[in-house]
Amino acid sequence: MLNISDLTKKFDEKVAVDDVSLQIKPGEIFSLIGPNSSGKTTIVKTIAGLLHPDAGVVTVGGNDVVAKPLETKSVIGYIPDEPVVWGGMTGEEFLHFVGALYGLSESLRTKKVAELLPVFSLQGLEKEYFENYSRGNKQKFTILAALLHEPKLLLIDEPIVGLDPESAAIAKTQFTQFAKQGGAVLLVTHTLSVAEDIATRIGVLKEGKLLSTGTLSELRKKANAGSTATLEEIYAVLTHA
Amino acid sequence: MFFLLFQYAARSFKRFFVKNRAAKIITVFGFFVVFAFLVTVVYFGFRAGFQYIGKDLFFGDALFLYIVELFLLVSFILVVASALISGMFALFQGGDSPPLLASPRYQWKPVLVFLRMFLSSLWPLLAIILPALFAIGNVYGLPLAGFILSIISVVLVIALGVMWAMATLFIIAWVLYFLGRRSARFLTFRNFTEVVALSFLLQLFLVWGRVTTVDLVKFFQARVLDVATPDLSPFLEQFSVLPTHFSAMTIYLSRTGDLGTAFSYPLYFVPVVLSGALALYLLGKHHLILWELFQEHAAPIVGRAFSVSRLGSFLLRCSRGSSGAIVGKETIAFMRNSRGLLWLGFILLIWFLQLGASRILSHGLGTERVSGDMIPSFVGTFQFAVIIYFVSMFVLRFAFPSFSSERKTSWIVGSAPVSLGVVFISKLRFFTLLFSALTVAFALLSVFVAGFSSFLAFLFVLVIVLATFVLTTYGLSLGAIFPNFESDDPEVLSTTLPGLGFIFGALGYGAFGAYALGLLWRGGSFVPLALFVTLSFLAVFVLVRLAQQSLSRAEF
Repeated sequence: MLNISDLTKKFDEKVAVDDVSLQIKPGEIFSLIGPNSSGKTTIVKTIAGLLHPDAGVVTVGGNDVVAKPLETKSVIGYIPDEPVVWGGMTGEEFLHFVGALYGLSESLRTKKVAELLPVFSLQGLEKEYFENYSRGNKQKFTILAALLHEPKLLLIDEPIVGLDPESAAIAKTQFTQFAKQGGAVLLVTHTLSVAEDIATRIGVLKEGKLLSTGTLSELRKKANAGSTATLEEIYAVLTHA
Repeated sequence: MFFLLFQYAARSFKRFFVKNRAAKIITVFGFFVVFAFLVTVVYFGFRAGFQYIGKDLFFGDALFLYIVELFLLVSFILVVASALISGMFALFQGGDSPPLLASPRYQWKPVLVFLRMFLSSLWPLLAIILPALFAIGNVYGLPLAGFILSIISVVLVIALGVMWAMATLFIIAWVLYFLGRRSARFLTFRNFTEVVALSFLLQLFLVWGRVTTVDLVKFFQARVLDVATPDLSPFLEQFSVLPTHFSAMTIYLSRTGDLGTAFSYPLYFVPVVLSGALALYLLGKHHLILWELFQEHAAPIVGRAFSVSRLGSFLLRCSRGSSGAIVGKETIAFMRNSRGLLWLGFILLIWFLQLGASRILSHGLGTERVSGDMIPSFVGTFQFAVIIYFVSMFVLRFAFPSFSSERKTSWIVGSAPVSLGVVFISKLRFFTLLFSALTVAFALLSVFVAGFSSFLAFLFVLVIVLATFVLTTYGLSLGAIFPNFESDDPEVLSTTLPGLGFIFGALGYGAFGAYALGLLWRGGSFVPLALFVTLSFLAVFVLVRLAQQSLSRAEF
């Protein structure tokens, strides 16, 4: 579903992403972990079409994100790390707006909104303004907006920041179900327990380079850690090597 | 605390030049060029005006006083209106208030708000008053002491304007507080905004009634009297109760050389200002209670009061594609932005004042009125230039920062399957429709005030609509070609280098249009207007292409 080959992205002279390659198949949840400024968000934004790659090729469903941006964007659902939306817009209006951008008809949008609001028990809150929502509720609406058009690839940047434990569990279930139904997920997070819980494969990123990828057990071997080593222990070994 | 704040301001100023230093130095330089240009225009404008008035030995004195009274009054109204808008947010909204209000020095908040609003109101007015006083000195001769006295009186007027606005805000807030039995029940921003707006319009209505009932016709019939100078009492009676009268008299008496009496006016006024300061202190002493209660209604501000905001919601819900959705979103973002709306109201207020002044001048002089029949080219050209100026202000404040101010929300449209070219055209549609509606309304009012013929009126409105479209395209394109992601405050973005470039271009374009239109009205050639129209369409084509190219390379 997602194929990244030799991706490089620079900001002036600073190399943010350095020759990164990875693939995510349908049904997979791939988690990118790494310290601050390691290039995780830059990779996600490049796939989402918010940044242009300096080198390398990124394809989504076989379409190049640079050559065919509209085709690739139409199958991606993007959840940003900062859920900032116009403060004077209600949650319901936001969902309608995003749905319309993805070409959903009014009747379909109305139906989907009614279906999605109960996922996070947001019924009754949808007519409030975004500026009145807590960070967690803003995050929940952006998750719903990403699921609205039934994407094939979910790009998730820090999925559970601001969510209460119950909502975080619901979000994790949603992502897992999405993958089970054939969707591909790229999950970028600092919360290692989330990656450990739901990722089928994990990539460790540092200073723009992809140090290692694999399943949890494969990473344990690469880090020469024991069979019960947590991802936090593996991460410490791999990023300080 | 004040020293710390001063240090913070100085550091912020230094930090401003850390990134994009060259562009920012050019911006500051450009700002001073614009400023110097404005000061020069004001100086020569006033000088020409006073020279003209001075030729009339009989009415010269009286007209001078009348103009100074009107000018100071309009300035006072603008200071009050501006301070009401800024003060509402600075005194009672969250923003940067919590750290100070959570500290033991919370009672200083109203003082800081006063200082900030006073200083920000002071320099634009002085930028006009100083060259005006120099022009008075050049034409009539103004002693240094008179010059200083005049400046002091104007500074007192500005202080009074800010105090008046703050006192109005506090009184209304306290009334709402006590009406709600010391609770937050009525202390919502919506109630507050509506009552403040109503109170301001009521004050304006009272002042308007007093100013426009000056019997100019009767006054000008004084020509038949066998006296050396006209009787000033009709003016003095009308203006004596206005808060700006003392300053007008100080300037008038300084000009005539009666410095002793001129000195007495501000001297009498100092106790008034001090009493006002004491009243303001008492009203603002417990400001924290009001601020806390305002926070209980977490921010559904003005938007809900306007049915047009429901139009945005309707457009969003019913949109069949991305273009309609973006127009709906723009409508919502515009109509539910209370600060933006209040500034829109402020600019409209200035525009109405200008129209009112035109009406007083053209109709207040009875049989001697300046009518469209007498000098249509002058009136039409002037009104055209005024409308272009106000459209430019709207474009600069709303359309130009449209892309840059959406930095944090750009992920929504940026990650969606929508070409940014479509986004640009949708924004252009929205702003062109909005500004055209305003300009057509004002163009028709101008036509009514000036009394144009049908053909002139038709041509006038047509050219105005074209110019609005061009200026909107110009502002939006510049904002798209030179996005600035250092700030999302439209007021800050408007003062960047591309913003200054917009002002220069817009003023030049407006001047060319006014010249072409005036020439045609005076029976001259049609060629300049044809060239103006051709260049307008060419500019739109080039700007849209450049903006779309730039957006296709944009990163968020």
